[in-house]
Amino acid sequence: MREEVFEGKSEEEALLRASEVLGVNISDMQYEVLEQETGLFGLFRKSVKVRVRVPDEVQGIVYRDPAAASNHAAAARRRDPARTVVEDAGGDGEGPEPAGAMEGAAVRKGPEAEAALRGILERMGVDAQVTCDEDGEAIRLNIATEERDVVIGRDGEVLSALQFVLNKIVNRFPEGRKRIVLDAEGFRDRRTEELTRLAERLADKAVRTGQVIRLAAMNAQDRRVVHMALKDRPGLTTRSEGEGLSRCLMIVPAGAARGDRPGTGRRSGGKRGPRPHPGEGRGPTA
Amino acid sequence: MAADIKNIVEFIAQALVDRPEEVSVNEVEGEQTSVLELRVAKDDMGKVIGKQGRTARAIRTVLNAAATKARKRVVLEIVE
Repeated sequence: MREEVFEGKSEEEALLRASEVLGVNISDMQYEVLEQETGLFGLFRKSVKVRVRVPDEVQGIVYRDPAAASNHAAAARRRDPARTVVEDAGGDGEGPEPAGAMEGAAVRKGPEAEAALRGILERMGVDAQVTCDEDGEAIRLNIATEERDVVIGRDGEVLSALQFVLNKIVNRFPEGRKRIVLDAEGFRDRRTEELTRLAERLADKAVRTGQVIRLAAMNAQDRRVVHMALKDRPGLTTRSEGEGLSRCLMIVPAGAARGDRPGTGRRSGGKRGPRPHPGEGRGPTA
Repeated sequence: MAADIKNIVEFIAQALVDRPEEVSVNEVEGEQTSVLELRVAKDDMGKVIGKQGRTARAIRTVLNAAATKARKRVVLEIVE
């Protein structure tokens, strides 16, 4: 029986380190958490110490798979809720990456993402086929269904919500973060085409009238499409203004007063909802 | 397929939190609108609400999509 103490920023990280140093699968170790220091408001990184015991009969075979470590620790936590680690004080799952701990390791989170999406769709009562494609940085999930209105929603708001929730689920632990890209029935491509056409039309108008055109509030993904569509056009610039849900993209023709008087006069609308109705009120539909 | 709206909240919340065994959803059915009361462990509140309420908003959007399909109205309350 070997016994050693390891430290890490999280239980998972400490176990991974143990696995690497001892050359033993995490599932073959016995361990207990000795100490946890949770930083004040998450300002200071916490540290976790675990004592690891390896029974003599265990052969050293290392799988370099942080997902396994993560799942293992999560499972342990579920068995023993009293030992819960406060994972992320902000609760947003967007903590810093652990320094170099997982470098070069292949993390597979696709199956988890796929299962979560299937589980949600099933409970929504949606008949759908889900496919999954994972690479080093992203998990691409695709939904095939006849119930497009339910899954995509107006301007893709349901699809975006599902994508957001799946991101939170899959990236609960900071190790090996992966971006989730969710699509259904070719919606993303269609949306990109529509936004690009709209952007070009409004850019023409902005240049022709010399006035700033402010588009209605859009999410970051959609704004990015418009920025990209117009980035190489001479005679205008694009920029965004406002915070959060009411962040708007503006098309600014060269020589226009920098957005002080939006040409479309849409400022009087007061607080606008989260849905994009770009430009002239003929927003692209799902 | 029939939607099980209460179960959607339960499923998503359990997947988001550290203590899934402490997730509970109580459905208060009204004439037209059902209220779903979601309870989670105190330390997990942040996980279901999210930065600036974004996670809660995303869950509500998914619920509303399912509710519309089932011709219902639901309101999600996250209670302490």
